[in-house]
Amino acid sequence: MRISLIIIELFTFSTGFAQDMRVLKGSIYADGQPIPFATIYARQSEKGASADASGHYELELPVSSTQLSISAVGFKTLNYQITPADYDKKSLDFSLLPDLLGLEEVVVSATRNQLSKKKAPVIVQVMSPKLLRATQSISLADGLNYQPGVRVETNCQNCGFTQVRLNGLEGQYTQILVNSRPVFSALNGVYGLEQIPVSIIDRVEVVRSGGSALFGSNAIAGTVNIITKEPVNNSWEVNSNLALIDGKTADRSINLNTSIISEDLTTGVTLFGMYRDRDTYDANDDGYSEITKLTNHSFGTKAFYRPNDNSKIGLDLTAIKEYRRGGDRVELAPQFTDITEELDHNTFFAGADYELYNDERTTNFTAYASIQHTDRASYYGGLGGGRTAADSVAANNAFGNTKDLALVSGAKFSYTFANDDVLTSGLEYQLNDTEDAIPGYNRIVDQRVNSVGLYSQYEWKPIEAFTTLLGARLDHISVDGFYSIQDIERRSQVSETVLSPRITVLFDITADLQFRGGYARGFRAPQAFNEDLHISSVGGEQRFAILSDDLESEFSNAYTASLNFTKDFNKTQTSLLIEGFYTTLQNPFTLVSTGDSLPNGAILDESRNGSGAYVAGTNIELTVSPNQDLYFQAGMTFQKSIYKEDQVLFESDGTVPGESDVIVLEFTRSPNLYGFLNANWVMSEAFKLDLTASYTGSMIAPHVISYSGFMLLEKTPDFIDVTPKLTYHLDVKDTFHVELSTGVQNVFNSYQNDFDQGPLRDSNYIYGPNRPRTFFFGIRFGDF
Amino acid sequence: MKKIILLLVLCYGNLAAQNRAQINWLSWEELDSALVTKPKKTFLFFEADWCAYCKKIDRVVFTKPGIIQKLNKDYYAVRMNVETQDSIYFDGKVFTNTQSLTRRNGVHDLALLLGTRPGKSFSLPVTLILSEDFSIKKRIFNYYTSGLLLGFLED
Repeated sequence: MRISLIIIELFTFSTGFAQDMRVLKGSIYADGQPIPFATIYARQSEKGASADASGHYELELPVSSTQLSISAVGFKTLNYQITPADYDKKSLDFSLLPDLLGLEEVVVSATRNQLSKKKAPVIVQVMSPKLLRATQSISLADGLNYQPGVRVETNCQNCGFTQVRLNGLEGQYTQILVNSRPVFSALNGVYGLEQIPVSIIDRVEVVRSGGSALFGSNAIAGTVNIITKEPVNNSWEVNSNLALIDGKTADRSINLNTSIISEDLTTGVTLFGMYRDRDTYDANDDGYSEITKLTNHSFGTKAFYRPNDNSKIGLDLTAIKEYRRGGDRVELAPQFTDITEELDHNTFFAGADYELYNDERTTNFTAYASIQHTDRASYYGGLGGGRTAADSVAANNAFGNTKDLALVSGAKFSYTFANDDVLTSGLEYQLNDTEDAIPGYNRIVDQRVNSVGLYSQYEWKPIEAFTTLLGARLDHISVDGFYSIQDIERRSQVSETVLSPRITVLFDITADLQFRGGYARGFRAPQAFNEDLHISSVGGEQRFAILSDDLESEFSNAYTASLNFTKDFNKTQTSLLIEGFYTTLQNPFTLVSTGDSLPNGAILDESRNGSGAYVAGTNIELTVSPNQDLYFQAGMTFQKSIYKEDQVLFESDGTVPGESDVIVLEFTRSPNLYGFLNANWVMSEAFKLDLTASYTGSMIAPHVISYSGFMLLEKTPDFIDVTPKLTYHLDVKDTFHVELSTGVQNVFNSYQNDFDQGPLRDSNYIYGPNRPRTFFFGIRFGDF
Repeated sequence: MKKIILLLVLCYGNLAAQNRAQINWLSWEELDSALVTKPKKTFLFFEADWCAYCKKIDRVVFTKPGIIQKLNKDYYAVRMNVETQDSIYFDGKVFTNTQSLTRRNGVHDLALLLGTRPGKSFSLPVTLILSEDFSIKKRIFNYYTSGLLLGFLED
């Protein structure tokens, strides 16, 4: 009786104006079972009803209504076009499908406004902390491999410099963002991915290709957007991990994370800290590191204040102290060793942001500003195998200092029209000032890059099945750079304005099949990027990079097209994505080795404009979820990266017999085939099993074999890096949980086996998985 | 001095008492018979394990002495995990979790009945305040502070 009263109370709708009304009735099912209390809703007339406990509904509608939307929690929303015949049917039934794959997940990266993943005109891959945990990733760099088209690579045995490659292009073509903001400076791009603690990451959104219209002119291979957590509840968490690389070298870490949020949710703060200490690992017992020593202390805070429901002020502060060292005899001062790369980073980051909505949430205004300062003490040098007084003087002069300042500020405005079209516009200012000096080599990088970007984008939805993003970005960039090494001096004085148009389309061919396509133009002005600031060693000497004279801006055009097929076979959900990409590069910046051309015999690489290149390929990704406890995802990339003309990698001066120019036709360090697999199995409330694997196909790796800088082009074998992990979860009480985990990274020990040996080795000759077989044990506890 | 000590003792005693005080949650079946013997206003709270805002309400709002006192004095309070698979006997009817037959996070029929809004998907937290005759006085579909809730309970 009581309940019946309520039903009448809740589900009686006023019929409003007298209109020609018709009645629809029927049932709503899933898997032959009625769904009680699903909602059915007519979009035009805003009339709706709820089904009763047996899934039956009755809805009175004006005849003008054309479209119904049927929804229930945990099911995919079904849209239905009403035909006149439907009104005559005795029972108009609907069948809903459960949503297991998280297609309705909300993402930011596609349009810089929050949007359901399925409605995003560009494909956004979302990586949750679940995957970072499944791979026992301590830093983000470890976890990114398990995304289609993405490959993380270690490029130096001495310093562990890593870079992310998307769609076959090098790290500089990918923009790394934190909460949609380009906070990484040229310098931080070198080691920054290993400096972000995993515990503060809510998710990572990866957009391949330049389709992401509003993110930076260099985002031509794609963007990696790291979204940090925004907690609601007070929580704390301690996470500790011990890994034994090859069963012998320890890598230990502790992560702390706690949040306090006021009862009215208007103020809150998250505090986090990380300590990591990894010893050097020597794979071939030659006394020289293959994996560097790494000590990292980071701590930081994120705080917010909401003056009212429609606005929010945020503040971020982070301090990072990172020490890394590789080479030989790490217990000695670096000038007494044969080879040492030692880097001591002190980074301070501060940021503030402000967000404002109107009451209807149709207008959004965001403003942000951040500053990052890094002080870096470096040592790139050593005795290089020699023991003369001159060697000792050289070794004592290899100390350097770097100062890096990055400022980012901007404002963004977006307006949603009544027909759901969205206009987004913004202005962004960036300053990056880098001073890198190693007096002993007369090496100077003194570079100031100013850029102002103005962007605008219109999201147009003329019909339900079609969405297009039309946008452009106008960048004015000025570079004032002075670069020197020994007796060579170079300058870069650039001031140019470039327009980069971008367009993407989404077309729903059927409810299961979506087509997406896009075009993006990008450019990079001549300047020193992360790799140009890195110094490696070979033949006992250092290897420097400098910009060539008359370096011109590089332009790129990226085209992408994809088909996404999502289909359910009974309870099994599947999603198949096939994507093609084609990117052309005009005047690509290419590092060319000029051999041991410096007066002290060191090797000099020049960043020159190449003749042009293209990358073409296919990403295929398959996701299958037979039920809630099982999840499989696999992806493969086939690609080719080709220089239009023969590209010189090494210029011989002709003085050494048997050595000539080294020429390539394809990109080096770029496999034509790579992929990943990710499987999760929730065995019970307490146990969970994860299996992740990544495959790296054969590629060409340059290998410097002579003090002259002459290199061989080695064809590498392929690798498969498999990680099983078992997790035990215990709920001690509501506010205290414990998780124990163990597993083996790279269980088949698929690892490079032809490292160079001794002081004369080429430290850049490293490829494949970034660690050999590694046993790990983790404990995580707290109120999370 | 004695007064201060007395005050401190009183305060401490008061705090200790508050820590022990809890909302007297009833089951649906208990509510059913209680409404027959002595009609009172009813407070219903729907939650789920994954609902962060529900957890916040449970930890922050339901632990405030004013709320505990008000609910225990003037209301019958029932809380429900909407994913429960138990059959519930209430008002002469049996309610089951039909959705859970086909899915893991299925929402119980009784929660769907009381917490569904037309045109919108079922969302949590859901709070209902009902008068003595079990007619709905207020349905709240978002988070609230103890101050706000006290206001709702006073009306």
